[in-house]
Amino acid sequence: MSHWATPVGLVVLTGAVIALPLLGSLFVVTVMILAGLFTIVAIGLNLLVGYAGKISFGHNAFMALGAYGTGILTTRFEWSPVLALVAAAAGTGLVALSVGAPILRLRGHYLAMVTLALGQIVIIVSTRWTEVTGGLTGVPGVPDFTVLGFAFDTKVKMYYLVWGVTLALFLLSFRLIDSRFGRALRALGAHEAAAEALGVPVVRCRVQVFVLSAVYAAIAGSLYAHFLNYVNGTFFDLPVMIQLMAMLVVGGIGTRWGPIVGAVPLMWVSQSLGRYADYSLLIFGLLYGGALLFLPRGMCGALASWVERQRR
Amino acid sequence: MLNLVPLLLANGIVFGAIYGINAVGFSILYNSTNIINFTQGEFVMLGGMLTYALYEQAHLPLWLAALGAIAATTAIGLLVERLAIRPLWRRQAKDWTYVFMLFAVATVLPNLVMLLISRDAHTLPAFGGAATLKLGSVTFTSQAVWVLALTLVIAVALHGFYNHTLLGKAMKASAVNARAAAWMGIPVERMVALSFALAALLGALGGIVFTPLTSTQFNAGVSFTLKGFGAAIIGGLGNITGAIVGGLMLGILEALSTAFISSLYGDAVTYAILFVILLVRPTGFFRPLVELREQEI
Amino acid sequence: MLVAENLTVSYGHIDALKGVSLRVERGEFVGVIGPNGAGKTSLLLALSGAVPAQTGRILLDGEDLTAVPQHLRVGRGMAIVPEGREVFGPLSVMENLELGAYHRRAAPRAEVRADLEMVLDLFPILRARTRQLAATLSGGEQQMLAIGRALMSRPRLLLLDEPSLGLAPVVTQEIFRTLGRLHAQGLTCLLVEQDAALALATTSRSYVFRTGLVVAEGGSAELRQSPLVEEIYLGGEGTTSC
Repeated sequence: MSHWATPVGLVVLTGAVIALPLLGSLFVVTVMILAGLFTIVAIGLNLLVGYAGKISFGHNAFMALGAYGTGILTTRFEWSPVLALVAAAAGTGLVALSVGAPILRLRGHYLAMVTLALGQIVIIVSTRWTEVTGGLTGVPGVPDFTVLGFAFDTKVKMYYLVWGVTLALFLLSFRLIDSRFGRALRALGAHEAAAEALGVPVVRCRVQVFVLSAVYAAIAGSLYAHFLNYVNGTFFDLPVMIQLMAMLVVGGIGTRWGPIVGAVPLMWVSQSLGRYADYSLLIFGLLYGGALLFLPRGMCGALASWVERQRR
Repeated sequence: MLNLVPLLLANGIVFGAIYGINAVGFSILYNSTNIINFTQGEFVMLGGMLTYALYEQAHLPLWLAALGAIAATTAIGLLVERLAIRPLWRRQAKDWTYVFMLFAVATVLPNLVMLLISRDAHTLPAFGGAATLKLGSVTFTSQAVWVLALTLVIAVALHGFYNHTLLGKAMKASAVNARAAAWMGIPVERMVALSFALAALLGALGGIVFTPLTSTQFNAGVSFTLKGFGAAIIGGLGNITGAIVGGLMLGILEALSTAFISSLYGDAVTYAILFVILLVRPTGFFRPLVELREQEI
Repeated sequence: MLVAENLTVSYGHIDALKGVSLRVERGEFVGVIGPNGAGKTSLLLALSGAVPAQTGRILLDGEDLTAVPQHLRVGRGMAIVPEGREVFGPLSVMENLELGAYHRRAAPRAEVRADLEMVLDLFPILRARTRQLAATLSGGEQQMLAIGRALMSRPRLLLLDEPSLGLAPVVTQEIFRTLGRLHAQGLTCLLVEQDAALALATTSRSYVFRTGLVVAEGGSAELRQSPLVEEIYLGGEGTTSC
């Protein structure tokens, strides 16, 4: 997309974000909170998958780690939410660092399987390690997010918090994409061996983007814990991963706006099913498979192609 | 604890044989297409769940329900190839597209089962009734004997197929060099479809003999996919005999680790083993051995 | 027998063949020579259906093969001995030959057996190695296997892509002697060759390709004297570096 579109788009987006609670009902606000949280994860995942070209089917686990980190630190140890969030994100980042270094050298299919396995390990352990995570009961009583005495105790306040963070992280992703780091990512995503020959520090870059995407997911997980005032590993199981993949593919992998364009509408779809809530995953699977067949570059990618064709 | 080892080994071998059958499905498909089949575990799940549906819901006799489930799962495998894989193949999509697509299919299938059949866990009656086989200090149930017999039959049948039938050799050739195979008149696309059918068939067989041992549920697929993959990796991805041996090894490792390490975390321990293997020896342990002995895939 | 009209083959933005026409009459042994990158292999790939032709037609005995998929062309009587042999390495010599007759699998077993015997008589070295894996054969033996495999399909037209590539002169001579014998028995052949001298000596009529176009055509004996071919001969002989 051309370069004037970006600032305009961001301004429009910010305006929409600010205006929404004033125009919409509480239901709308709640759905948008969830959409925002998934957008955060999707932005990080997009950098990993779309730019660096690495697959991960276990990012739901990073959300869980962030959520549990925050949940346990704020309830059992009574840390302040801000400190807990930072600690949880950092802790998850460290986990990603130690796991990422060895696995990221694996080829696509293998990496997909390994990340799936690791993700499953985290979820299984979280629901059975009762002493630490509360097992199936989870961690109840997570306090509202509070900063310097100001508590985000209503849905509307939570909405502004989540979207404030989302916009900040979104902007950060743009800065990264346009930086040397972003170019390095694209090089290694296109052809690792060639990138290495050109002097791109391939190993360092891919670990960095992996850790970054894990931190994004952990932040979203932490905020989710404050939103629900509760943490339970089962909330972060495979269905979440499926929703994330669907959002990425439908929005457009490797595009700047793809994460938002995918996350918001799909979250609306999943929350608007009412009686048909059970069909949610089926619909996601079909949308995502359908996109791969008919719209492989996602909505943003298709739009970009269309714009380019008009220009010729 | 140590006196339990023979029993653990026996258990491990029985479950391992099933992982092996599933792993063979992985290897067959990998050989033809270089694709790692994320839906392999769903075929196993379908074998069990469809048999349940035909047996408990449609009230067919067990043997007919099983045959019906095998036929239906094979048909589903062919459908997946035709609708999800072939379009990607034709436009020469990149590796990751197949992975994503198969993941999407692995989402659609279990959810269809959940909505159309049942969301609960189900089991099936054992095949041979209450008869048992005693070997040393270990007693094998008739179901376990069925599993082992089936594995043997499959191994022999596939060996015969790939080495003594023209179709089997044609499939091998397609996997080795698709372009040259096409020049011989071998319809490579159809060979790919056949591979999917075979993988689905094997998966379903595994699922059907597995279900009476414990149970199955619409979301059991992921576990089978990961374990089948692990077994295939141990044996050397693409190596059919290796897949069965890999399955046996994984089954034994699983049984031993559940007893001696932890039974609380169940599958997580098996996945951790898979993780370690993938990091340490992704090419598996058996390919070199078998390459020297025979020209099996 | 074979008529190719105005064939164009492009790989993305690169045009390998730019509107090439040629013909091969029944019983002829026709050659295609030219430097590296002239489009000779692309010609055979297009004729055998491995790559699509953007323009043009391919007619075999009047039958339009242009839209016929790759795996159905051998059934119409066209077999290819690919560049680099492309035998099925992990399969045995016998299995490779059996697969050559795949499109005739409905035919009586006795017929296929007879052809197998014929091929093994033609290449006695293979007879001694029927159970051996194709990957373990020498270059020359693999070339013989590739030719034998193509013959198993009972082709009306045999396409050969650079059979001398990577082979010792003695082996090449033997193979070309055999090809000559097959031609004498009535097999129609289209030979693409890097080694211009060898091609012109074996064939009766040849085409000269350069950068995707036919730049000369005529009797092989006459072409051998032409200055154009001398240029290619001097430039192309022995320089098979990548």
